[in-house]
Amino acid sequence: MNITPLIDVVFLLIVFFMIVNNIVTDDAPPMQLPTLEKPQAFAPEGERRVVINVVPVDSFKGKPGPGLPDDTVFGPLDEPRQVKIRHLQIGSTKWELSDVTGLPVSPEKKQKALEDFRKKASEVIKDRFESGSGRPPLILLRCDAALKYEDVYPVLTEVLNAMGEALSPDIAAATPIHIVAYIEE
Amino acid sequence: MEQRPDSPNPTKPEFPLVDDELDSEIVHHVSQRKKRRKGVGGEGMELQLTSMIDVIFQLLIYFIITANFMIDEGTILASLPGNAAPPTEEPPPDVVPIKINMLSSNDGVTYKLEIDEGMGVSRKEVNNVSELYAYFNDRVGSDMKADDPVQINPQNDVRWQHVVNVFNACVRAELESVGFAPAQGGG
Repeated sequence: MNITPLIDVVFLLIVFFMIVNNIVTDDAPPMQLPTLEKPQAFAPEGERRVVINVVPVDSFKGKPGPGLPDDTVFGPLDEPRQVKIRHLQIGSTKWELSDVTGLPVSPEKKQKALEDFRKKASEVIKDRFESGSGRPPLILLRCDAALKYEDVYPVLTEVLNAMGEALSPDIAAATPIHIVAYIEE
Repeated sequence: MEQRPDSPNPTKPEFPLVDDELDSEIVHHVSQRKKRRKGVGGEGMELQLTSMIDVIFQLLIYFIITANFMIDEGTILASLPGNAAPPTEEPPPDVVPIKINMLSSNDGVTYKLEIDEGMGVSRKEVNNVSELYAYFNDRVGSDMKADDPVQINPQNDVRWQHVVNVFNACVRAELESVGFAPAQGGG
């Protein structure tokens, strides 16, 4: 039996899974996304995408259920979890907003990190736009469900600013942000 | 068997030195090295692939198990106003967005609607996201248009989970103009 083609196919499969694993790990660091009631989320189609990850310090295990009290979803009241943003991530580039223990960086460092993040996001969006023959890329915002609104809103603002820098006003106004959540199957 | 006349022990038989009849019964020893040498470049040489295939399949199984394809993630479209497009015209003065105030409490989150009805601001409290959706679903198409502005106004410590859930309910009710209010305290 000639097994040379079998070995070739198996090697190709190994290379495929090695590459896919690396790409997905960069674009989808582990976190707990929002679980929605009757989700209107859908799987986006499009090859050119910019995935912005807001990674928390302490990501809890298990999916939160919709409509449950906050303490049973995110931990008992006697052990309050201060979930802060660990870092922002685009691809493999990271900008730290707090250390491993959740202690936030100094306000100057945070401001600098947000500025660098905005510049990088603007570069990536512009690059994807120009390589897509004038069509704007998909901009996905992956944010942990346990983060507080006061922490997420500045990131959202910087993303909008980056879109304004990278795209013309008309195109930026017509380009939506995709908020990532779990969908029903 | 005849004995030779000059043998030292005439009674002891001796083996014949050469005998053509017995030549075919003699076994000629051939070493293993000579046998293997004959097979160089021919059928005798084999490459053992079994171990390599075992290792390859182990690697394949490892990468299959550790692969993550993000198959259960989807997105909700959010067309948010920002610094991207400065307003080209003043919004009509009589259009005041409906505010969905989200307040965190011990039991979770409470939702309080502020609706400007011209004569004053009316307030309504809903218990959960399902009621919120039902409220908008009833109003859209009757006394409310789908593109009437709605603003989600969470308190600073409301989790992102609840904010997105409210946004999802608004999208489900087919509201087209939903935005997020700035975080209190400057954000």
